[in-house]
Order: sequence, then C-alpha cells, then structure tokens
Amino acid sequence: MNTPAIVAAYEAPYTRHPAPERTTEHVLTEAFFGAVEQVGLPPAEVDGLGVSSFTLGPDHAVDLAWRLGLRVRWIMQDPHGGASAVNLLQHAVRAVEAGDATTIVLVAGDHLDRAAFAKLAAEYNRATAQALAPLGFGGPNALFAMVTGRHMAAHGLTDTDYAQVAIAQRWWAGRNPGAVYRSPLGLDDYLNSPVVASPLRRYDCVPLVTGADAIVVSAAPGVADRGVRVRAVAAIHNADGQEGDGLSTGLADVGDRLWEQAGCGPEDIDVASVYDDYPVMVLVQLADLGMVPAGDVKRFVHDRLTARRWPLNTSGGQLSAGQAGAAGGMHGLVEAVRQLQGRAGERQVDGAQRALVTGYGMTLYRYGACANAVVLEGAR
Amino acid sequence: MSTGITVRSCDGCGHGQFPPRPVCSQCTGREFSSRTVHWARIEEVVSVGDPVIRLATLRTGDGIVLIGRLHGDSDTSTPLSDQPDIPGTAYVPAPGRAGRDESDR
Repeated sequence: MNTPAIVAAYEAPYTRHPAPERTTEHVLTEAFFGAVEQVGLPPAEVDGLGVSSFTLGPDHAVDLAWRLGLRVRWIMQDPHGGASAVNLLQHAVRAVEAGDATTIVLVAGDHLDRAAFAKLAAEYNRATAQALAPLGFGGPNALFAMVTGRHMAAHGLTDTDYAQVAIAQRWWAGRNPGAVYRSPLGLDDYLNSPVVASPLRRYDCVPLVTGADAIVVSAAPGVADRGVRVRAVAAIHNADGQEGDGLSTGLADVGDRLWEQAGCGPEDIDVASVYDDYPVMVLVQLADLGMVPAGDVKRFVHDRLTARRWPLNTSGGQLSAGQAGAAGGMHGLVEAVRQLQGRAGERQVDGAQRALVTGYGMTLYRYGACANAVVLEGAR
Repeated sequence: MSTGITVRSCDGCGHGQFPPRPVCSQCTGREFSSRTVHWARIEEVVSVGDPVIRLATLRTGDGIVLIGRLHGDSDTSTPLSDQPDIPGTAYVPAPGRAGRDESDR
C-alpha cells in the first residue's frame, strides 16, 4: 500500500475587495499552481484533482481539470462547505493508498461578493429556500445567534467569554501577513462593536473574502517522505437529524475513535485549526473532542486561549483571516500543514509536531450537519 | 387570524416532522399523515436585519422544532400561521409555498 502525505499547502491571497479579474477560476488556478510549485512538482505529474467551490458553477471539477490542462485518474467535487476540506482529504488519502492516484491536488475557493453571498444564503438547500429564506432571515447569523444563546445558558457564559475567542485569534492574526484583519482587538473593541444578531457581534461573524487554498497529497518517491502524515480521520454527518440543540456535533460520537486511531490524545496536540464560523462552534467542537478540561468552557477561554495563548487557529482563523467561501475548511488545513512544516513565520509554534483540524458546516435548517476531523503529524 | 401550519406525523411511530422529508428520522417509516398545528412555545428570539425582524425557535406541543418570524409581542407562546405578516402570529413558511409567499408581497 502506498503511503500518502501532505507535501504542500498554499493559500492564494485573501482580499476583502478583489479586483474584477480575481474570479473563482482565477483564485483556484492561483492556489493550484502555488501548491504544486511549492513542492517542485511538474503539473503533469498531478493525476488527481479534488475541488470545493460554491461559485465555480456552471463548471465542475472536470471543467477545472480541462482548464488547468490536467489529465487525471481520480476526480472529486465536494459541496459540503466547511466540511469539504477534510472530506476531500479523507477520500484523497484512501485513493493514494489504493493506488488510484499518486499525486492529488485538493483546491477550494471562491470569489464571493455580497450579491453572490446573498444568493448562496437564500438557496443553500431546499429547506433554506422554502422554510427560511421567505422569513427574510438573511443568512446563518440568526440561527447561530440562537445556538449561542442556548450555549450561554447551558454553560453560564456571557459575551465577555465568547469575546476571548475573537480576541485570541486576532492576536495570532497579527502575526499572519495573510490575514485580512490584523490590528489588535481588545475587549472594549469587541463589546462596543455592533450587534449583528444578539448575542452575536461583528467580531463573532466571519468577514467574507475572495481567495483559495490548496494542498498536495502525494506518495511520489522523494516527495512524500518529507510530508505531513494523516494519523487519523473521522466524520459523522447528520448526527441528530436537526432535532437536537446544536450544542454538540458529530465529533462527539467519533472523538474516541479519532484519538485511538491517531495513537495520541487531546493533550498531545501542539496546534489546532478548529472550524470557526462562529466562536460558539469552536467551543462546541473542542468540547466534543475532549479538549476542554473538565468541560469548563469559561476557564478554558480565559486561561488557555487568552492568557496562555494556546495555539488555536493560529492564522487568525476565519474570524480574522477571512472566509473565502468553500475554502473555509481548507484554510485551517493549510495553516496546520504550514505549522507542521515549520513555515508559519512569526506565528510558528515551537516544535509543532501534531495538529488537529476540524471541519463543520452545512446548516440544513437550524445548525450545521457535517462534522469531521483529522489528526496530522509532521515529518520533522 | 391564525391559520396554523401543516406538519407531518409518521404513521408508524407518530414522530413529528418539519420541514417534510421522505423518511422518518426515528423509525425510517415512509408513510405520513398531515395535520395542522396552531400554537407553539417560543424558545429563543433573535432580532436581525434592517428593518428589524424577530426570528424565533418555536417548539410545538409534540416537540417539533420550527424557525419562525414573530409578529406578536409574546415571548412565551404564539399562534402559528403559514401566511406572512399576520399580526399576533408567528409566520412559518410552508415548504413548497415559498414562491407564492414572495409574489404575494
């Protein structure tokens, strides 16, 4: 069996106000070549392509292969938003192990302006189009405001506690030249920011950007041995049929198996990219995976995140670096690989050897239905 | 005036469902009966948008959870309607009627 590794990770620059020529195809192309050039692979050696994008249509993955001049043995397109990156990685690793492909590029990204986002939000799925959009709900903020309200009540938290997630991630963003928001964020800034959907404030919501991310999964001799290994991957989608409270994800059901497969535990993780569409979901996923000691969320955010700068979403996460549509999941994966390869610059976590990356998303009616996670290990 | 909303119950186990799907999440049954529900308890309220609208998580007496738009003042319970903007009710769009609701405005 071939042994795949993630051998490159690249992010096409995120921008809030993109030039017109930075179309979806343009940023996906930029990310694709950025990744393969990083590892010195001729594009002709790429024999697998995985794509996630909300705005690539009417084109599909094979259109992108055609336009990039790729002749591939394996192709896949994943529409599952924040969970698409780990989904694609899960399949790509198995494909390389099985010999269906040797070198696969996974790329995700979007050119998303306000009009494109509004269309996406209103037509996300049939339930949204038929049962939410007619309300004038305006997108998922209101739904996650409700989730946050329930989480507040369940854990005795206040807006000051959720602020710690945004503040901590902004500290990391200040060390990432690629983050769209880098200036320091203080508690007063957070508390004085506009309420978007109570209790959510501006800094609890991701800024939309245009951009793309890509990784290369390969078993090619001389390349893979320097790469980042996938120690474990686990997923559960539609865990509760949207009939729960949204305060846990499918990760709660697969966490034990993930750690067992990885041969390590939460305490062994050096850096984490946890899908951060909203601060509440960061805290929910961490708790699902047993990474909040004693389940004490309040203590975790103040002691670990803010005071001890536990390395969570070290790019600044989507909250500060931006959400490039379907690249939202791939963004955290790229950051984790960078950390494990020692390429994270000023924000490099010393000795980072093991990383956790999670994906979450696809709000079907009340909250996200997709959840997955991967444990990575560096080659150093 | 409350018109109520149409929900479905599984003929096999009685589990309620909204929005409608082809399979019961509890027993995998595929036969359903429709019925009208007139009231729900208000569990959470969120104000969003400009002009501001009040969206709510609503729970019917038999536990079906809905998202609706409030047009009344109560924070505890509300009559339900599948028609938009009826004073005193919570509007819960009926799947399949979205286009008509939009064109009615």
